[in-house]
Amino acid sequence: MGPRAVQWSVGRASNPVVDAQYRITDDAGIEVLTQPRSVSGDPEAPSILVRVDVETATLLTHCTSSLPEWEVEHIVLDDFLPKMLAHEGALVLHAAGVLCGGLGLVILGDSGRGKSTLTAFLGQSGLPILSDDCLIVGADAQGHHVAPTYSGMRLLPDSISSIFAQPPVTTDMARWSTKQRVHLTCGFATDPAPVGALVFLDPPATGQAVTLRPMAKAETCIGLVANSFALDPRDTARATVRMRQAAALAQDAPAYALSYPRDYACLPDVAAAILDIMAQVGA
Amino acid sequence: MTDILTRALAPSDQAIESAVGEETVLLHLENGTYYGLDPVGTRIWALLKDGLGPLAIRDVLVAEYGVAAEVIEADLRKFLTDLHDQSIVTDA
Repeated sequence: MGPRAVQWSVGRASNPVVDAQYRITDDAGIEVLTQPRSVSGDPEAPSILVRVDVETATLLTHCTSSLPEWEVEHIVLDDFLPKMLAHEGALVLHAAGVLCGGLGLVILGDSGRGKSTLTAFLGQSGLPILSDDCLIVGADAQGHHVAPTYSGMRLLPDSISSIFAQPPVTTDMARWSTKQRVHLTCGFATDPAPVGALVFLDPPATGQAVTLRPMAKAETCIGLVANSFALDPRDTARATVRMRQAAALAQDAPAYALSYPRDYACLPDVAAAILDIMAQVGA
Repeated sequence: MTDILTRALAPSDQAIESAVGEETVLLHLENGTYYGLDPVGTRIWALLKDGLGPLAIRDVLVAEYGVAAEVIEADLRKFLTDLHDQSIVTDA
């Protein structure tokens, strides 16, 4: 019979470029205790106070030290906001996404696997971009859908120069990252989209082949949980809900492990393989 | 070391689970380890949660799957040892 327990050891869900900790204050504010790697140990390590103004749907931030505005923006948008949305009960994926034939293609993978680069390439190929880093998953009677937290794109300089025919406007993102925030004026989709397929980026392939391996539902569920945001990953009640949300999405959407060499010249083949998958799900 | 099949075991209170079709996904909150259980593993996990000991689980599986007891024992021993090593199950 052979009972099988397949083990995956994965890091805790978080954005590894920001080692920030959060504390909900007594007066319903949220204190971001920020210790980016480059400044950890700094006695003047910054602390950011964030208050949520529900009436105006505004995040008000106040930084206790001279953290540049663009770094505050990065921490709040790319780490704080996803974790707080997750804390409120949403399944929030550390994932990129594009629209293909009206369906959402969700691209997951550890940081550095190429989510943003692949997304930018698909965007330059004409597919509307949902997000390069974070998607909120919802569900209703029609099934699962995804929506971006915000419209944005962040890329390493090498990806920018390889993907864009004309250099886009860019700005620094954070002192502890060489990624640049790319300011695109169009090409984003902001409305929720039904989930068409999930693609998990495997580590770079050694050969030249582009392969897509269908994933089992349990493997997919684990991949979703491992790539989800959580304010406190050890919060049992919320972790249980997150597992159930991930299991439901894994049941609903086909998932594939994508392996390809990290060579910009291969991206057209990767895009073609992905479009084939999306065509199979009706995109 | 005592044979794990003769020990009283229980699911860890740090292990949370979710059903995915006929399979089960387990997450140990403290060490961040994930497990995916196939249908047979899922059945064993359910019996553990019902409070059955390893030898009682063996008997149930022999009856349900019609496989020789020694084969079941070997597979069950490996399976429970894996889960115990990762603290998914603990000594009761």
